[in-house]
Amino acid sequence: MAIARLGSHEDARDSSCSSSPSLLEVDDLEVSIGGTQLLSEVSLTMRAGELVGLVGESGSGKTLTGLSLLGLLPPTAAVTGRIWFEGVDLIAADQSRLRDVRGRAISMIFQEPRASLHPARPLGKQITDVIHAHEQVPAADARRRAVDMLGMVGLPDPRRVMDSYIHELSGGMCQRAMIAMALVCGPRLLVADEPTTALDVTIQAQMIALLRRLASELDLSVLLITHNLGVVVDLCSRIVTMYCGQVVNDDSTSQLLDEPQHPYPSALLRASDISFDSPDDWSGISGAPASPARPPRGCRFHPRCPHAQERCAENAPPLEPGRHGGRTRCLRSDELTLQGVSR
Amino acid sequence: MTGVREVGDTAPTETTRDTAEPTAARGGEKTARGGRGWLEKGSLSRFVLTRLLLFPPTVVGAGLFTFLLVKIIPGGPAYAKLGEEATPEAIARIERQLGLDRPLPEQFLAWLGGALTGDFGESFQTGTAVSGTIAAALPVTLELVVIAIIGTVLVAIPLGVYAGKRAHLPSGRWIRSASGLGLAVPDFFAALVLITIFSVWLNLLPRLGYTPLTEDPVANVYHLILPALPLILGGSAIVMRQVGAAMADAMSSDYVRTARAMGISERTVTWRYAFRAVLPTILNVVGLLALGQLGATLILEEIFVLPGLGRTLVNAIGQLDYPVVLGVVLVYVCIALVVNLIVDLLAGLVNPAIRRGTS
Ligand SMILES: Nc1ncnc2c1ncn2[C@@H]1O[C@H](COP(=O)(O)OP(=O)(O)OP(=O)(O)O)[C@@H](O)[C@H]1O
Ligand SMILES: [Mg+2]
Repeated sequence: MAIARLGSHEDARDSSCSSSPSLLEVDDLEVSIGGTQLLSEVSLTMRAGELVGLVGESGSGKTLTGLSLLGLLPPTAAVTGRIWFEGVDLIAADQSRLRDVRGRAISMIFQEPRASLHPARPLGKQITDVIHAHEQVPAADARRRAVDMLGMVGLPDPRRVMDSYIHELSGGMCQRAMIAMALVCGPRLLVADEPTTALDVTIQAQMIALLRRLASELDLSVLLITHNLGVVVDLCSRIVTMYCGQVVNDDSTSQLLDEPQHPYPSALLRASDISFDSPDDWSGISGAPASPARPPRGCRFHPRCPHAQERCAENAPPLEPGRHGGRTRCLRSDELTLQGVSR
Repeated sequence: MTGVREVGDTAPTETTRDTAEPTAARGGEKTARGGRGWLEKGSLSRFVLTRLLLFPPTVVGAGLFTFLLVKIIPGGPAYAKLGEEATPEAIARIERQLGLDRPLPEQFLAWLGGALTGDFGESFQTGTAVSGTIAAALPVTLELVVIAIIGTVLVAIPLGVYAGKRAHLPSGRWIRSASGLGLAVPDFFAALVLITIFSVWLNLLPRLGYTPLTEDPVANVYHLILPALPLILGGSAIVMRQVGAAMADAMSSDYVRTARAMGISERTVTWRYAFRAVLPTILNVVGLLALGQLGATLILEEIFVLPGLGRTLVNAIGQLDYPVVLGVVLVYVCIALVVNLIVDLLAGLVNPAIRRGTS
């Protein structure tokens, strides 16, 4: 029932957006691992050059969504739905096609830069490995390009970094090197999975500035996965919120800050430290996040929702166009007026 | 043998501690990069030197330990030589002849003095120089172990990598079960089964005999294949398990996920990333295995009647031939020390933090 309704809305949106073709379109993505359904009805769209944030509490399925885009889910995962990227359905693609897409069309960087790079392989080698994986180029050319890329991500003395191992660099430098590795073959989309979480605050700000600069210089789209709403608000023009394996809200950043259309992102905003006006109005979200393995009946957020009514426990809301644009998954979105945090 | 065990057992802990030490370094060409210099604190060269300096006390300690152990065994070489109905006078005469009537410390020091100059004395039984006996027996045992190790590495590493990559699939689990079977079968039983198959039924490999390498290398290796096979089977089971588990871990590690996320080919990911990361594990496992197989040659040399160290030692213990027992044990200890040193050195060399002296 819910799925059928969602489908009709997708069609409506597709026709309305046909003027600006989307780079990435995820339709109704469902992922289960070992028989447990972990993602359901995940839909999102990105246009070329767009910076989109993907937020949600721990366990809401952000990383799984990112990994699905690259076909990097564990071998035991079963995936249905569609992931259109530049006209190709990545879910139907075979391994060699996917390998071609990874690094050259879509790249992904990860949270722990140190654990995510090889400890016993010089960084330069790890970057040229990517070049050689996609292009037949002489080693010297690959090396030159790797050096250029390291310079581009703001590493001083790129030649020295080429021959360094991760233990010789700081966490921030490793994250920059991983970004260089991800971008050296010119992908159109970068999925950045919590790229700043493991770094200290000053480095976080630098990293966000770097991503912003790279996105504009390289005409790169970025899907920024993070817990940190402050970071997304800084960087992204649009914010997709996930809860319990579903996309529950998809709004422009300004709309979300002014007047959230869904109680969950509204609560997330108030729980984060970006309420500029009233820092005293700090309130967490009551209760623990629901597990996508055992989702609550009805609206998955209703047990924790301050605005829940009886019907919220009965009927699962579809992801529908919101009153103020965007899309939202709330039975009461038409009648609720939620408090934003911006000035 | 006790001395060998001891060295073999304590070595791995030392290894992990030393190689995990991030301040260790090797001097040389990379010192300009902020690494530590030759023989500086924490450098690989200094570590090796420390190890070498520990050799003499370890060898002397092991010698003393074995010396006392042999003395505890009831009876004596004189009884062993003369038999049950020996008169006390005859025994006393023989003991005086062999120097066994002197105080223990004096006996030990006399032996040690000789041993340090390469003279292990003469066999009580045959009167021939122990060093000569060892020189003849050592190559047999070393060859057997080397063939066993090479065979194990050739069999177990490809299988372990294969199993590790398929840890979640039936084929991977099947290999694991097979290796479990290999672990459960004792060497001597495997030897008997293999003799039956290859020697008795198929008549492919000789069951007995040994030709020195210098005489006829082909015949030499031909004769050592069957004795080495049980070691290869048992060793492969161990190495395959460890390599398989380590590979499975590495294949699901974050750095492999990153490499895949950038489109790096599965072959590069397997060998240059995952396998490279498990190399230190493999070195340690193979090093330990070499020591284990050195011990296992004892029984295989008996079964296949090979004139190696193990057979020499077993015979000497039976006859309470102290000089031979002590000499052979000392050689075992030295081999164990050298194997450990080589493993640690290689582990240091494949660890960039230690090799470069940066941390
Ligand atoms: N390989 C896996 N096998 C089984 N369950 C998994 C696996 N990977 C993830 N999950 C489960 O899927 C859910 C979503 O995981 P995911 O890693 O996508 O969350 P996340 O939103 O990225 O969280 P975090 O902010 O902690 O990174 C979690 O409940 C997690 O336990
Ligand atoms: Mg995550």
